[in-house]
Amino acid sequence: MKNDVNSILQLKKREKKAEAKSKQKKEKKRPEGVNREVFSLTNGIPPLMGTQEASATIKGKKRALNWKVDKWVWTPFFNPARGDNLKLKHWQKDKNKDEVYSFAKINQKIALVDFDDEEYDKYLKDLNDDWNKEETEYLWEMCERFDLRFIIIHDRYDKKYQRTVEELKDRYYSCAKKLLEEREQEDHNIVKKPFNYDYEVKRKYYLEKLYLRTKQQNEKEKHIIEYIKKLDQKLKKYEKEEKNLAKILDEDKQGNLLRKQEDDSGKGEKKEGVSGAYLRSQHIIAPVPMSEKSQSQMDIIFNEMELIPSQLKPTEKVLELFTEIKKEIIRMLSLHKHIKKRKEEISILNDKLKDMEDFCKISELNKSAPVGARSTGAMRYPPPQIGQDHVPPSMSRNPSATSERLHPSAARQSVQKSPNKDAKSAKGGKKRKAGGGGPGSKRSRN
Amino acid sequence: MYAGDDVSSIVVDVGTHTTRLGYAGEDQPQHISSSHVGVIVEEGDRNGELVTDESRIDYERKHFEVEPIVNSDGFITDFDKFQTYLENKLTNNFQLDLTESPLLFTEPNMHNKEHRLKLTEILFEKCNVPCLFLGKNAVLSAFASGKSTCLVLDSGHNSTYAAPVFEGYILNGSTLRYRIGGSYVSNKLHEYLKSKGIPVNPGYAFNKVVDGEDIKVTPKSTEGFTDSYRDYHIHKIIKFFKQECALVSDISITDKKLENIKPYEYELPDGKKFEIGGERCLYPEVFFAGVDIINQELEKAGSDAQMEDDDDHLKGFIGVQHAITESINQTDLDIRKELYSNILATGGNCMTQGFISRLQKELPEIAPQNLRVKVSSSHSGSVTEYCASSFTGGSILGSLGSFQQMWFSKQEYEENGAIMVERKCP
Repeated sequence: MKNDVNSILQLKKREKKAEAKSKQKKEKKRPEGVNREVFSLTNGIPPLMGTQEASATIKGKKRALNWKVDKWVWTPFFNPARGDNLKLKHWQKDKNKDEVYSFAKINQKIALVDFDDEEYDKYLKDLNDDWNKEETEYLWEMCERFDLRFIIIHDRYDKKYQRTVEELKDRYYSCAKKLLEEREQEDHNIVKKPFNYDYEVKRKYYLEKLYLRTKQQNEKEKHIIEYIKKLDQKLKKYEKEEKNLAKILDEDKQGNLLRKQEDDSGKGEKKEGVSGAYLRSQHIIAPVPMSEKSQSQMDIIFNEMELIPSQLKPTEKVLELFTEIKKEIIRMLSLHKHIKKRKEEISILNDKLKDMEDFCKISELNKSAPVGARSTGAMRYPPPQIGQDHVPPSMSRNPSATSERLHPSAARQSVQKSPNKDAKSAKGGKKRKAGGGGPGSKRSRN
Repeated sequence: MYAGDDVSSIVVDVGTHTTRLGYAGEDQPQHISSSHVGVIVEEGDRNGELVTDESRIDYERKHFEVEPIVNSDGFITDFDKFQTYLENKLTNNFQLDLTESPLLFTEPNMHNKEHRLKLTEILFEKCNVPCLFLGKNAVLSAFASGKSTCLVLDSGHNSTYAAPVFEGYILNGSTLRYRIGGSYVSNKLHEYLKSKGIPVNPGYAFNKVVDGEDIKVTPKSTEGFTDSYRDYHIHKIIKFFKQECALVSDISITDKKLENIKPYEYELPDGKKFEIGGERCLYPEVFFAGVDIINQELEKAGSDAQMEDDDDHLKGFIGVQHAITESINQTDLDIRKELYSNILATGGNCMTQGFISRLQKELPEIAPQNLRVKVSSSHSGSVTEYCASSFTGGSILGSLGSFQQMWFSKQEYEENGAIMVERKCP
């Protein structure tokens, strides 16, 4: 062991010696051009990248002082954008004094589609009987002055002519279009998208109407849109339920409600969709979870049948039959639910029918009665209240379809009816109902 | 593209209350003085001499008339007086040589062809300016706030304008002017004080001496002082009073009880102290309710004082918010949206406490419901930004590089006549 220790220590010693030797070797002489600090950093090895020459700003103070300052003069300058030779004065660098005035290039003019007398006589004279040459030329002058800003042109236009903005635009663009067509420059936007005078007038009319809308009208519109949305939502919900019902009634499909995974081919006698090993007893005691209510309902039915799931022997056949029973029970329960709903709806509709009949009777009476009698006790049909919850199904579909629905064979057919059609007839149904208000109600039909 | 080029042009912004002068390129006028000249009317060789320096007008002297240089619409009536006024100011305050300075003049929003022609003539013939430009106040105020399309509500000393500006051009057919402004409120306050038995004495009518702890005020004779001189000084006092106490209420005054408004204590320069209550809200309310409503309120309060509404221009006035909508309704439908979202409130009268916030409240209720309404005004609330916004706009315009081609030069004047100003200065 001592030998080991020694040998380790000796090794270390040897390393130290080796280091000392290498250090000695490394101590080179510092070349003259290199700074002491630089040398200690780089160890004499030249850098990979050459250093940049020190620029005048860092090292050459003297060089900066040699710069010449640009001389600025307060001098008159010529502006090529001007029509006259007005010479205003400004500060400018002496060396730039022969430069063209830089702001002159901003003087851009819009390219008007111009005409001469010949072209006017040939093409434009008969284009519009309302305009003569004098006024057309005046309009062109204004267009040039104001760069085709028609609103300003209209504001500055001579009042004696009495033109609207659309008329001015129409005259300019129709003439321009004709001229461009005759010159065979059909690529221009004016030819491709011509100015439509009637459309503009109409558009402005509706725009004005929009601006004149009062707050109440806007609120009303918002309410109506909201109401329509709600109706649409209810319809969708209703259709979903109908679909579910159809599924239940349909005996062709093996819609196994207990199984979560549904098979695409829809064939029966499929293996249970659970993968891997499982305990059949588990399936009987704690099957696919369902809501508290339906579970309790199922328990009640089991009690009536004197069937206690936990006492069943979990053989394959038993499980099959048990699953069948459960299916049937669930089907029965949903059918019960649907029947209940339909009965409710029928009763509500019956009430409404009764009301309408009563109202008709009374309005008949009122027709023959003197004027003053109307106000006393006449039952008015209430206007459709916004926010009404109920969507009567018989109004949302053809009445004949309701009776079909109860036959399961026809149920598939009725499901295939397009939902859009139903939505439309729902709104139509609502309208029909609103129309039934009779002479007493003051609703406006919208 | 919007770079500046300083040609040392001068901007002259003449208003009915003050005149602002300065170099283009500056954000504030170098010189602001009231738009008045003094005329010596005493016997002797100084009779008829004009005094243009404001400090000399304020100096106490008898036989001295003080006249405005512009009429109540903002147009110059006596061009000789105006020329003297302008030349004195520019020479004394700016040491300028008019023959070398391009001049940018502002003018009232209502287009007045004769006034323009006459002014152009005077400036070229008598003052020999090298070039000039005439810009409408509304357009320049719009430029000062960085917009080229907006509706400018300019409520100043003598008039209130609602002027739509579209792409840098004012729409003359839709501009509305009402002859009601800050001076209206000042006059009503003065009448109110008189009716309460508090006469406002101008500065020269009394002596104020510190006597130990007290301040003794002794009246002086006012003989020999002209009426215009007296009115000028009284107006100054009333102006300070109005600036401190006038308040625009936050809701319509018909819904508010005048008695519940917090009264304001004020002391006039001659030492008289008093309180002003609901009236401080009543008179400024005319800008939002029109004269009829105010008269109704006065009747309710049992007061005999009634506001006159015999002036035609005042008859249609039912409030600045209605003036704005009225003006916009006369413009083309396509630009209304842009105008409503860019409303600019400027003018000294808009500095009244509560004015802008009341306008921001009232306007959306009568504007079209589906449009966004935005009222902007000076951010810092400084006097210059409200009173001299057209100066600032003129200063911006006159120092733009791209503007230098738009001057109306003397050569063009000589070749085409003064009528060319209509073409060159739209």
